[in-house]
Formats: sequence, C-alpha cells, structure tokens
Amino acid sequence: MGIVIYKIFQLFLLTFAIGFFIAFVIKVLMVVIQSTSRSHASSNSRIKCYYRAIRIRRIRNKNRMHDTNNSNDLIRFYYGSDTEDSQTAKL
Amino acid sequence: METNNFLNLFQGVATLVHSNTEIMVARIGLIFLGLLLIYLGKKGVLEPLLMIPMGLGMASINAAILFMPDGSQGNLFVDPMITNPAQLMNILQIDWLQPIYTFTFSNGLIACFVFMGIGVLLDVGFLLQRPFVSMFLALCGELGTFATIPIAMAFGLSIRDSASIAMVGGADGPMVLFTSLNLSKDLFVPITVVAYLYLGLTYGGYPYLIKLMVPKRLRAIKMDPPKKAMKPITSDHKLAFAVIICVILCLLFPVAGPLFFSLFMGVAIRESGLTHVIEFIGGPLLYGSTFFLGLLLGILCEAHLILNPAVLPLLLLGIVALLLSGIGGLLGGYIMYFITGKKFNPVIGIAAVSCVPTTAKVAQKCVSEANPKSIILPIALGANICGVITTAIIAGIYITLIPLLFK
Repeated sequence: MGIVIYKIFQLFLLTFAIGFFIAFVIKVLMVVIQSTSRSHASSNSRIKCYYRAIRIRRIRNKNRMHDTNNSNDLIRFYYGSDTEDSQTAKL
Repeated sequence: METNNFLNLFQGVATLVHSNTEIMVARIGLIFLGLLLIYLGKKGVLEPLLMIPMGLGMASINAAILFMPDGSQGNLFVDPMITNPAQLMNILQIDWLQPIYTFTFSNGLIACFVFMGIGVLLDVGFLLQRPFVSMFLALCGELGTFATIPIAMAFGLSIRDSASIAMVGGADGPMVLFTSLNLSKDLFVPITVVAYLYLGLTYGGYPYLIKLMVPKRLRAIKMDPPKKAMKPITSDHKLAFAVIICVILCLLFPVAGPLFFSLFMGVAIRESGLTHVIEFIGGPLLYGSTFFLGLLLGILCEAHLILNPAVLPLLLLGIVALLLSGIGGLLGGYIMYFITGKKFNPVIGIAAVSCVPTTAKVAQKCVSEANPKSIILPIALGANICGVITTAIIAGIYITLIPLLFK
C-alpha cells in the first residue's frame, strides 16, 4: 500500500506541475497577445493619421486650385509640395 | 402445464421465475430503483434530463428479459458483451439500441459530444484573467480524485477500477465515462451510473459542507476589485488560448486527445462566433447526447450485467471521492485566504470542483446568504472552468500512466 500511495503522490505532483505549466503558458500567451494587439493599435492609428493628412492635403490643394486657378498652384499640386506638405509627408 | 403455458405467454415474468434468487431480487430492486430515479428526477432532486431516461431504461430493461433461441436469457435492447465481429453484425440488425451503443457509446463518442457541448457553454475569459489562482484552486479541488484510489484499493478493487471510481471526485460525468471505458471495461456501467447519481447531489450537499467548514464571518468576506484594472479579454485571446492549450495537451497525452479536442473545439467554435454551429452543438447535440447517455446507462443496468460484488463499494467510494474533492477545494480556498492576507473568500474553493456551473452557483449562493453585497461569481467561474481542464489532464494522466506505473 505504501508503494501505491507513493506512486499516486508522484501522479499528484505531476498533475501540479502540468497544471502550473498550463497556467504559465496562459500567462505568457496573454502577455504576448496583449503586447501584439497594442502595437497593432498604434500602427493602425499611425496609418489613420497618414491617410488623414493626405486627405487634408488634397482638399487644401483642391480649394487652392479653385480659388486661384493659378498654373503655378496646379504644378505644385501635381508635382511639388510646400512646407506643410513636407511635414505631413513625414507622417 | 397451465402455469408453463402462462409463463411462455409472458416471458418477462417467466424469466423472473426461472432466474436464481439473486438475479430475481436484483431485477425487482432495479425496477424499483428506476422508478425512484424517475420520481426524483420529476421532483427536481436529481437532474431530470438524465434521470428520466435512465430510470425508465433501468426499469424497462429489467422487466423485458426474455428467453433467447439458444435457451439463455437476454433482451432486444442491447448486448454490450459482444466482441465477435460476425455476431456483432448479426446483433446490430436485431437489438434496436445496439447501433447507438456500438457506434457512439463504446468508443466514447457520446462523451466527446457532451464535452463539446460543455466547451460551447464555457467562457474561458474568467480563467484567463486569473490563471494561477484558478489553477491552484482547481488542483486542490482534485483531492478526492487522488485520495480515493488507495481507499478503493483497500476495498479490494484493482488499481484500474480504483482510478476509474476516483475520477468521480473530478465531478465530471463524461470524464468518468471516458476514463472507465479505457481503464475498467467490466465496471464502467456502475461507475458511470454512480457518478451521474452523485453529481446531481452536489447542488444539495455541498452547501452543508461549506457551512461546516467555513464560518459565517469568512463566508461574508467581500472580494475587493483588483487594484490594477483588468485588461479586457477578447474572443481572439480566448480562441488563441483554446488552440494552443489543446495542442499542448494533445501533445502530452494523446490517449486523452479526443477529450481535449472536443472540449477546446467547443470553446473555439464559441469564440469564432459561428452562430449556427454554436446553436447546434449547445442545443440538439448536447441535449441529444445527454438524453442517449442517460438512456443507455439505464439500459445497461441490467441485473445480469451489474450483479457484481464490486458494485456496492462503488456507491460508498463515489460519495467519498466527491466529499474529499469538496474538502480539498475549501482547503485551497483557505490557503488563498492566508496568502492574500485574509482578503480571499475561502468559499470560492468549492467552485474548483468542476461541476460546471453548479459548484460556482453553490459558492455564490452560500456567500450571498452571508453577505448579499459580496460577489464572487467571476472568480468562482474561473476556478470552475479550470477544474474541467484539470480533470481532463488527470484523465489523461490516469489513462496513460496507470497501466505503465502499476504493471
């Protein structure tokens, strides 16, 4: 009977070890997933900012074209960029 | 002569008269036990979903014994002892429940279906928020699953039978069925019937154990919200958890792979938002499987099959296993109470006995009686769900290692 109890105790310890291993895996998994999802969120917001900047630039350029109908503005609109544009391009 | 003709006309009575006294008493006793189960199921003392088909099956099978062409006694429901393929093919065309028994019960498929249904009902978010606390409590709540083995061996059971009956301490019906099918082919019917009978009693019995072991002052402890706000657990997290843990556990214990797969498949389906599949698995599949499980367990309680001297100790060992698991869970709760500087409600420990969600509800009920403002259900559910996973791990360990360690 002593040997049986000893072997069952070994099984109990093994269950404890596996159980805490699983808990550890869950913890690591949570940390990894949450850190990954945070970086996704930040990159998403950067992308949103970038496209927002492009949209603003287009609208401004369009308005400027409409207001002045100047050929220089048209050239700048299609090929060049002003100071503000170079700032938004950095985004 | 006239008596003989009368008996030939009503073979159920004839077989009763021609049986030896033991079988006759057992058949009559089982008929009345079946009727009692139906009554208790209807009254809500035991789970009616299982007890009504099981009780009617038990009563009917012990009444419907007839003389077979070879002169032996048998029935037209099911013959679980057939192993010869030719005989099996023959009997599949005669016994009406044989196809369900052969193709779903004897290979553990029905247990896996029930497990898949349980998986669909589980919200693993509670476990993911506190993995270590939940796991510690769940491991403590398995005390009966281990401690019952030497007790059962002292009653003269083999190590395989002892491990199977000890699984009742895990408080998970499908797990008991799966383990006993693998380890204890001769006793799997009475072991599973005992498991399901006692699991129904946890809702009524555990509150007394809680009141006995935990004074009202401690039951009333209000759990403070965590200092650091809990990060939300999304369905992506839960799905990733289910997939990774399933693969790891299948890698460790391939023998219990079907169980792990079924449970985590249910969780994965739930978290993937497959609405129609969730409705199917959580509804018709789960309830249909539970119905047929109860029906087959009742049908298998035929006097010739379960008249075994080892059956009586099983009745005692089943309740011992559940009692020890409850005590272990509450002791785990006490350990957490001291570790956390007396801020942890020890009643949560009872929820570690993985009878989802009954024990978690029992814990909350007992705590609410002592202090209506104390809400422990989220932590209790974490321990509860972890208990299911722990019981599956123990089933894997028993099926894999017991035949190796105890040759």
